[in-house]
Amino acid sequence: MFLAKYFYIIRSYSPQGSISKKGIIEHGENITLEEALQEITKKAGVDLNPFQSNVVLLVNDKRVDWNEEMSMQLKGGARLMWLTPPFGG
Amino acid sequence: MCGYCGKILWVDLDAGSFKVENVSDHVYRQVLGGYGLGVKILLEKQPQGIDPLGPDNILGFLPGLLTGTGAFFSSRYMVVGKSPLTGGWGDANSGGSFSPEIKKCGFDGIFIRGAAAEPVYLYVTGDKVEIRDAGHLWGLDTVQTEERLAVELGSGIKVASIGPAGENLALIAGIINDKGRAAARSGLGAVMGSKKLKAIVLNGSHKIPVIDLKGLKHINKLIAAPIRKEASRLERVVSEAAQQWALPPLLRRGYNFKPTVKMIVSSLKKYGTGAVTAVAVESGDAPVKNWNGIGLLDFPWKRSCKISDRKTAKYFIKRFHCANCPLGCGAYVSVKGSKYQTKEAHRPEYETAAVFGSNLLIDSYEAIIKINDRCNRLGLDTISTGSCVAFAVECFEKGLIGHGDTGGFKLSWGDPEGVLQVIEDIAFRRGLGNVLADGVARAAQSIGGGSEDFAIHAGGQELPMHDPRFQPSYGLTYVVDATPGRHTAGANNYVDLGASPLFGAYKLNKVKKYDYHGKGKLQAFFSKQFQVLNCLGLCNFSGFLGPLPYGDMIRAAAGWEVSDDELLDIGERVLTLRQLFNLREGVLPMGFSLPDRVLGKPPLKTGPTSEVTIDLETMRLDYYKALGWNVKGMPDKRRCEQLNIEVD
Repeated sequence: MFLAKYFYIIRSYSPQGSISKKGIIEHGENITLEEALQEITKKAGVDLNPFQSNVVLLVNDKRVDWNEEMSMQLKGGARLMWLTPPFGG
Repeated sequence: MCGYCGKILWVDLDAGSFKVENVSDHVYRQVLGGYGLGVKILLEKQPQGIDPLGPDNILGFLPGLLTGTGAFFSSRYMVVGKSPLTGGWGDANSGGSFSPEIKKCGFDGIFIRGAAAEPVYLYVTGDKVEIRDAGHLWGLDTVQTEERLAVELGSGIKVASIGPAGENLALIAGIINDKGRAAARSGLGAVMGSKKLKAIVLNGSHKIPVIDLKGLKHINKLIAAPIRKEASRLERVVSEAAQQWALPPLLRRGYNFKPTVKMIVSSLKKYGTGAVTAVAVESGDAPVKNWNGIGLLDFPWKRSCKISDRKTAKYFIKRFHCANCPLGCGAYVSVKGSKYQTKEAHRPEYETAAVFGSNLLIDSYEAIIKINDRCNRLGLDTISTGSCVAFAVECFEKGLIGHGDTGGFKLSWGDPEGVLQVIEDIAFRRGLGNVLADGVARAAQSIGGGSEDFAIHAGGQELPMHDPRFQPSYGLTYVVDATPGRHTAGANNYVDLGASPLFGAYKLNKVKKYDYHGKGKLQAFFSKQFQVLNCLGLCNFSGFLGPLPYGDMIRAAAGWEVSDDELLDIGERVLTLRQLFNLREGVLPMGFSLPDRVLGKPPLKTGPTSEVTIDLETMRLDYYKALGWNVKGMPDKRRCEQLNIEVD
């Protein structure tokens, strides 16, 4: 079966400082955004819970609303970005 | 009388005299202290329509009700007056060690009226009040001023002073204490300068009695528990290992990036508010390139990390705590062996790192340390100054100003040299700096050529470094508070983050980030709570620890029984009084708006805030309705009466 590549970047912070993780998941064509996040969660070992308030999700550098677009079909080569919002300052 | 002094100090610089006024217990129960007391006094004593830079403007310095009692997080003071920047109500808020000293001198507020003929400073101890000659201090920067006064009066003094910016009446001048903590906003440094008042010097010895010291200490202990514990050892190990990819996937699962109290506390202790600068730029919270750029493209991760968290650690010298703060998010830093060499100076806060960093595309933290130190020494508000410089760079880029205006140097994105030159010129009102010293709104009127479109302000005050396209409720805060363009004035990000109340067991409806209906109601709720925080003299960061027992703190300090609902009423009273001050001065609520660029008109095409256009007016009307105000933002007369506010 042909596997397409999907690129992800996670940018967040921890008590130790900023975090940036990049990676690739491979999956058949037509993965949904929800499935992609599950795959990334497995691979990256981080709980990408999109129901966290205010989290920012980008697909191909454009903002997506998780609640409305969790079933969005991603095409091979899609770039997914997960950003944890800052806590103020 | 416990928890507060029951007295305020009036200083008349015209007459060179002072008097002490008693304040009744009833007043404290109505407005607590801080700017609540400030606005009550100014509405009563200050004539309508006065010139903000004239002698009739009353400048007040007020600690909060809990300040000086030993309550944790209670060391904020507020400076109040009519703002020369907005023409309406002005307040500014600072931490450090100055605030408790006002109480130690025996006062709940120091109010200055009139103007001296020659530079003076005010020297207040527990026993005496003196207006002293400051001719030898005039022209010194704020650090030099503190150091000179310490030599003359001893190291135990606490000082709030202005630098050359305030002396030269720059409308973006602030007031500096502890050599770099700033009551920066509203241009109140210029008001102090107009009075030829270089500094207020305090050295008090009064003890503030509290009704239940044991109870207050117990509450402090509860508040500090999550700070002292921080993350458990196990959590730290798992967290660090997960980030280093050292654990197998199954063990790594469950580590959640959601910010917890422990994570926030730990980050703040280690890096201060600059812990999240890189994430703020990346996520769209921090403005980029005078609010017209996108972090991902214009100031990408590799650059924003250079001015954020870990990369800032090498400049760290030691931590700085405000008085009675168990957290200690401040720090001293230094730069050695570089053209930006800086001796021990305060670490730039997030706002400063963002406004001179991403907003000007500067990725040298050493340069930002230098710029921050220069602003503090010159007595400039870093938010407004950085915004003015970004505006000037864009004017230069668009050909609206040139070398002839700058005195020969070039202004360009990412160039700290030009920034350093311009901020000196602002403080001393030289050339282009003289135009920028009046803030971006007036500068745009002067420069013209369409520059009004990228003069980023609300009601004349430059906007802080939180983009409403990322968190729409910030936009609401910027236009509905009596001091426009303030990120600490109301709900902050609480509305969008769906956080719990600051106090009380209130159940709040969550509103989705880009849903605009219902947001104003939440904002009104949080605004009232933040007024209470400010009137108590508490730091906004106390809110990170979850709902705190403010009623219990007041009971332990002052002996009053006050319910959460009564505290909300106090918050509403203060919020309304501040609004009424503006109305009295002809500053209309609907006059506060945001530039199209900030509202997303047109929206950005890419990045974390792509396709976002803010519906400010729906939120604004919702906010007015929640407070019972009319569609023009005029408070309701009957509600005012219920709040014991007299209205004409």
